[in-house]
Amino acid sequence: MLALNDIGKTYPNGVQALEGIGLRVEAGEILAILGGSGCGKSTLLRLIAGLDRPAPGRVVLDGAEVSGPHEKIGVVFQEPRLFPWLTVAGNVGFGLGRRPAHERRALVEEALRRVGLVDKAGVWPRELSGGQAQRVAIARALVTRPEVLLLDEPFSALDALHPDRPSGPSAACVGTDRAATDADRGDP
Amino acid sequence: MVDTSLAAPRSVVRRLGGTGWALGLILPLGLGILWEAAVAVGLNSGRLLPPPSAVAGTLWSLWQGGVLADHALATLGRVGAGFGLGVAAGTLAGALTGYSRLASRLLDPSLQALRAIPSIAWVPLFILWFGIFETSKIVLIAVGVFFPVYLGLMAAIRSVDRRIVEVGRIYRLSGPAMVGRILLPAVLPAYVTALRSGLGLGWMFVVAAEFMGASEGLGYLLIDGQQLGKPGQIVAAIIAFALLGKATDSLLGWISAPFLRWEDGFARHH
Repeated sequence: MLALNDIGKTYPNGVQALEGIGLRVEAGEILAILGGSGCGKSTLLRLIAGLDRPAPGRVVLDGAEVSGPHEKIGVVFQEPRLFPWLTVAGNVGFGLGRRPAHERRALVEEALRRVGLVDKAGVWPRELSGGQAQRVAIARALVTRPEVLLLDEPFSALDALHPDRPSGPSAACVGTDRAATDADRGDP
Repeated sequence: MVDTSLAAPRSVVRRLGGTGWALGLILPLGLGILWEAAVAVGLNSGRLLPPPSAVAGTLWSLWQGGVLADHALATLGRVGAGFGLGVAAGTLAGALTGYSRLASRLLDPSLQALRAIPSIAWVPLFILWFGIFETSKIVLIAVGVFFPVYLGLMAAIRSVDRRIVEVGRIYRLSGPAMVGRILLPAVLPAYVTALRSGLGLGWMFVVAAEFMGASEGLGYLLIDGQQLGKPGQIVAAIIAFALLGKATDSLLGWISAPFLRWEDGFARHH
């Protein structure tokens, strides 16, 4: 379970991005956070991801405070943020650490198959379209099987998975446990 | 089974060559032919600046006697040793000051002050410290190589896109892993440029180093040619410098090319 207890965030320049945010996301739930541009959605996800520290408040995952990036939390950023010096397969397998090569290959292939890019494993990121690059970023986040999946502005990515789906409002998305797996399959 | 190996695609390997290199020969060949013709028709005696045929004759005679190879190898050895030393020190200092704010505050002001000192000013001190033989020459070359490598690497590390570093943070990379898996690959194009700048300065500094009482080396050939009134030998030594400098720079470019195939810059599309 993911819980945010009365968290806030004020940037060094004095801008208060968040104040008094509290929420709970149970295993299997998907939570969408809707709001206009600049309302603090990305800031909230950065706090959950452990990239920034909230003040005040705490982010708690399965009873333990999240004080930094966590192995159970995966993130898909607004932009793909692929490493240009790695092939698509290299990007997807980036977070797999020191696993045996055959296991890495199998996991990478499976993740790429899920996003429909298994034939792009050997190409450089510069050879991908914007939508394909975002799908690679999704595969990279999913390949480590995170229990919590954070998607910042996910609709561009979902459009990439489902080109006929109309664009939605700006949103950030938190999926936990099985929900992350459902999201990766594109189940509503 | 689909190939999901991390190996780079072969299709993107670009072939160097074609007619590009020939275009670069037009200017020097044209000037050489003009000068040869000017001397041949008596417009100039060619005594202070011999025509290409005379320079080629000098080069050939120096080569045949093994003199040119001996001097070129001596110079090449000094540049190689000084370049290695300068690159090692410049890389270490550049990586430290680029990655660590504390190291930057501690080291950078002093190094920038040292950078402002004309390198020739070090010569008397190096001779006192290291003697007149090889060590002082190699250290002088290393000083020349150090600064472009240091400055290039430090600036490149500082300008690495914060957003891709955050991806490394998401995967909880340790400091060394962050450097090895994200920062170094990200700065590689700029680092190669810094190495090439350093190598170019290394070739400049070797001349100054070989003026410090060398008994062999292309710099010695220059001094010898001046003292004995042999302009052909001076021009031959200058040409040897140019050829060796260009060859080592091309070698560096050739070695680094496979590691930079992923680049998506302006040059790739032209």
